Amino acid sequence: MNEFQGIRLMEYLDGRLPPADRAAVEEWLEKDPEARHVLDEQRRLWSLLGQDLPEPAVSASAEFRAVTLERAAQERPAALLPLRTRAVALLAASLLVAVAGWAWWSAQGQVRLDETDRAVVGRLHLLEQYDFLQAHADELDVAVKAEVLRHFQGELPREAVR
Amino acid sequence: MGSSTAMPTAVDGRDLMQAVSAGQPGAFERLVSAYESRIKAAVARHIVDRASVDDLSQEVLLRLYRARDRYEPTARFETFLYRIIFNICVNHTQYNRRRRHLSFRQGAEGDEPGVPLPADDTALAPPREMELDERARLLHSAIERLPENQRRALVLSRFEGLAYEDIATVMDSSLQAVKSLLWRARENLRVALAGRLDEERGPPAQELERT
Repeated sequence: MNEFQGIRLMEYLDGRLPPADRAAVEEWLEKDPEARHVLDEQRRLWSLLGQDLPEPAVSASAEFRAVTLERAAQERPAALLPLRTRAVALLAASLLVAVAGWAWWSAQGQVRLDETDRAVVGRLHLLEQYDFLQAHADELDVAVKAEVLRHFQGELPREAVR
Repeated sequence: MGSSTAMPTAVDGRDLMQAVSAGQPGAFERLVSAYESRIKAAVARHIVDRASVDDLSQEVLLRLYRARDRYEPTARFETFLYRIIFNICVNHTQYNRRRRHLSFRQGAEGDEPGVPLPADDTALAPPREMELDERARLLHSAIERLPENQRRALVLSRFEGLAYEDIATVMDSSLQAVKSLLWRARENLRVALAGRLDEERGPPAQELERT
């Protein structure tokens, strides 16, 4: 008998099968003497387990109760709010802490820009050109140099153009 | 085919536990009085170390008390209780096993012998008085030789009267795994006790219906 069949037999013995399955097991038992033998022995085993083994000898005691109640009295007081309410409150508090933490962390990474900085950042490509021309200023004609300077002063903040 | 020793429902544990949760005066005392003996018996069936039965039973009751805030009345109280009993007994068994292992190693290395250790805790506990007759001793010995999970599932089924689904919850296992454990435990016992079962053999079973 395989385990699947054995479990079916056990469920039959324990009254755990629906009527249709019970009928199928009974049909099988009619045809299979080995299954009948196992069922018979299992039924007697179950009964032996109940009759041959005495109950554990335990008894109630006033001292046990007194000590248990005393220890329970030393435990923390019961929560005032029901479990579900506390769970929701805990979740909300966790979310709040998470959002605040994220905001703080984000603020740490940010560089504060004033108006001039923003203007320079917005025109970085011009600044690169300006720096290039500055580096080669000696090679430029004075009139050209003045024209270039005027051009960049028009485009870049005064603080960025020396 | 249930056990005669299953926790009766005359005292509604769920109502008592709800009263404890609501902080009603005297509710926990009523719970202790109602369940003390049953908890002690259940603990005694799971451990051999009889000296620890009272301590572990007390721990079970205190855990119930601590769990009063999170107890959901939708859960069957007995299942909730047996889960606590089961976990405490399994932890106790594992703790004793580790102690024995350490003690054995220390002994082997020639260290000082430690305090006397309880006997192996993995078996169904014999009655305190140990006045078992030969039949009970035989049965006991066969149960002791079962693998631990099979034995625990069998105890919950036969002696505590739990349904397969409740055993699965208590043992934190699947329903199919529990059925498999129970069947293998019963078959192992049937084979081990073949001689004893032959003695009991009455007239061949005429009736297929369970009694």
